[in-house]
Amino acid sequence: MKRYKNPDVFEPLAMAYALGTLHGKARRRFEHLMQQHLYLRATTQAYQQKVNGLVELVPPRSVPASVWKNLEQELKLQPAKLSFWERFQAPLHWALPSLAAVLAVVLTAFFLNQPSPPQAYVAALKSPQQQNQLVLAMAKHDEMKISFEMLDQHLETEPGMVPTLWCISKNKNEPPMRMGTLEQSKQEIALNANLWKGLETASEFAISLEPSNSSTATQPQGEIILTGALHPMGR
Amino acid sequence: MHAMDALNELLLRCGRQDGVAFKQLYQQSSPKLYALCCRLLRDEALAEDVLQESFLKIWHNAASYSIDKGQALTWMATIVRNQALDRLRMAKSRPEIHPDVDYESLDFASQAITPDLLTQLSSDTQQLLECMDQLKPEQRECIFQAFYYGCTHEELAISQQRPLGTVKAWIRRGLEQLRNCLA
Repeated sequence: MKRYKNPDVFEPLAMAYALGTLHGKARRRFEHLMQQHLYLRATTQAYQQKVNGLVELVPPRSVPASVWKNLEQELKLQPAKLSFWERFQAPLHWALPSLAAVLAVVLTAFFLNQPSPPQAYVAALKSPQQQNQLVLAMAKHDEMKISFEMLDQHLETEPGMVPTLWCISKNKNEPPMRMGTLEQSKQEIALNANLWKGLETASEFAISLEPSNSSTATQPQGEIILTGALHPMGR
Repeated sequence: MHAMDALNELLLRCGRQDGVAFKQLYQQSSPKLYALCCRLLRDEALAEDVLQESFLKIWHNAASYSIDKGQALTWMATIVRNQALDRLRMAKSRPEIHPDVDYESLDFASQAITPDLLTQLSSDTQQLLECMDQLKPEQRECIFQAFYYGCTHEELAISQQRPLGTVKAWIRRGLEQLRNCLA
């Protein structure tokens, strides 16, 4: 076993395993050792990550339809579970701007005189330039996060620029509060007690494009691309 | 969005049990993965079986995928290759390579990499190809044959018409060179 602790021995083996040149008993022996030793697994995985990219060169080949049919049956695939926002958006693509306005009026009227503190806030952020671009933002106290739904699928950004959410206070003398940045892979921002408190005095949300290295900026430096009034819900 | 980034995003969504994302992921990645299965297994029916089993694994393990594990296509190719090599091991024999069958050619890997193609490849693959370029043609050929067709040393010795020891030495030195280049 000692020899397998020598990188000059185990690295070529890991590489040969990843490339597929390790066969028969040698392959089985190496698999057995991998089960026992994390460093062998990690080294092999690292090489697999490097060499399996060779699949990118393979010319595609059309797959018989039966494969997907079988998979669908086996997995009993359902359409993705629609989130609140997706259910909400589905019938609305035809009239987004007017919907946003109606939503704002209805929510404001409905919750205006509710006594207890809001449990959620909602905002429909629109672009001053592109009227069909709409982002719905919902902050929920029980989840302590703000979720975003991009009706235009994604925000167009320049390289090195990051969409950043700001909370604009009702008090014009107070500076905007930086809430966090939006990532393509994770369209939500976690809240802490301080940020939640900031929502209570906020009048609107704004999204600006900020340089990715300006995470400490306390004011928007870049272009504001979307704004929308913030409405309390669920008092 | 780069095609590879789109696949990463779809695989992440599969980890959240998003069936629609899984279908898109399948549509976009299965033609390449199926082509790889066909090459490794040399039997279309078997390749279909392995592809199906692999996608079941992909669905069930998608939650363990994260961007730091590399490109989604590479992550999926690892599952597919392991599944195919396991299947080969179970089989008592497998069909021989027929050079006249279109998917048996290695032209796709040997041709010059054009700038257009290069931009479509992930950075890991670009680096690997640069390293492969530094190998002797016979070393490169043997490694490609092993990767794409799962060829054993014995099969390579026959196809290269060289003694088994020579082929083993080519591969060993080739891997050493690759290891230094990729380090």
